[in-house]
Amino acid sequence: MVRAARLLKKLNAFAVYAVLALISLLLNLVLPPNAATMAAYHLTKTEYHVLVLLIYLPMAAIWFTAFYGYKTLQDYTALIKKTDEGQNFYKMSIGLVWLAWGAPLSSISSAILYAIVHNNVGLYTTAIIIEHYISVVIAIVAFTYIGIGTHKLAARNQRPTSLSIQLIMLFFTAFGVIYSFFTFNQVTGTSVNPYHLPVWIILLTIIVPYLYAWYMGLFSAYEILLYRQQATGLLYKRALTYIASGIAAIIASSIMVEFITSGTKYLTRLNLNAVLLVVYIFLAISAVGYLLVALGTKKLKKIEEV
Amino acid sequence: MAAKPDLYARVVRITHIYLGPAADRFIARQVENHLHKEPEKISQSDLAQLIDWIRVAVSLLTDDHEIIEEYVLELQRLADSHSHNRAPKRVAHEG
Repeated sequence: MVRAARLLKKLNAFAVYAVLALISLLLNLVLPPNAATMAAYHLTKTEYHVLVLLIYLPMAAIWFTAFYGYKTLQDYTALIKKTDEGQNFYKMSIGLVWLAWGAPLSSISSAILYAIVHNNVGLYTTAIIIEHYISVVIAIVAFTYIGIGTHKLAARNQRPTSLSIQLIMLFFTAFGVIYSFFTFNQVTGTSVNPYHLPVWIILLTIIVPYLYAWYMGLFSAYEILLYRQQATGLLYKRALTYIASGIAAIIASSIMVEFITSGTKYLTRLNLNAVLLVVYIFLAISAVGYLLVALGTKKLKKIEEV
Repeated sequence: MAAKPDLYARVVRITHIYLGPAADRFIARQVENHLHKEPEKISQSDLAQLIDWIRVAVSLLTDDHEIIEEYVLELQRLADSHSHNRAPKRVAHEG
């Protein structure tokens, strides 16, 4: 794990971004299209590839902000690595690395999986399960790292109030029930089960892991805002406001994008434009979040340098 | 952990209001880089120069002149109070 972290530090974030973005673009354009999506939205092969390109370009710009955001946070943590908050910010930055790398890696894996399915339809169910698991593993690892960092930062100050915990539980319960309802509605409301899986497996292998990852993420967002609220230092707090708001925006938008894409993926009656528009709004929020993290981190970095 | 010398600790305490957890590192850096001393060995006679360097450094961090002036004023007050606190002792010693 330590060796992996060292290797990660040595790799230039922007070089990694360029390589992953290029691979993703090439695979999405060259490999055979996703037959299910083509059928669902009545697309020809050319239309499918044009659509992929239109989706890809803004997505690549958003990925760039993610790489830029985590890189600046890691540069700052290198300056304060011997301090307690340095260690905690470092763990948060590892979480952001997972989110940043995860987006293009998910895109690459999906392109490969659906190309395999194109030649072997029998593997469709397996591809769906693997695709979900890749997303969920990335979310769990990313939010767990961010959660460890934010929890230790927040633990240095006052604990959350019982009212705030009650409100988080209420919000999350409602969110979880809506997601479960949405998923079961797709399974039972359509003639063909879009997941091709028994309900209990969907519950245990899709709903539970997603809800766990999202809960970790939501609680992390709350804790970083709590740390910001209780932090001292007028100038430090101003910079921290950007980072805390940025991380909260990244987590909330990542959750919403996963929620929408995993929940509506198989709802063919939904307008594709509407779904894409909503996804892009949340992706744009995520990009703003990464830029806020970069801006706040640069301010904190300056404090450590002058 | 050994207690930090009073003057250094008081400068850090004031700085904490503006720079939070970065205060200790910030002051240590100013003393080491500009006064070429070990941070905890600063004396009252170093304060004027240190305050000047802090003003320059904080001006690079923010354009908010109100905060810069408030911070410098707090440090000036500390310098004044420290010199007043020391004066009677010196008089007594000289006497």
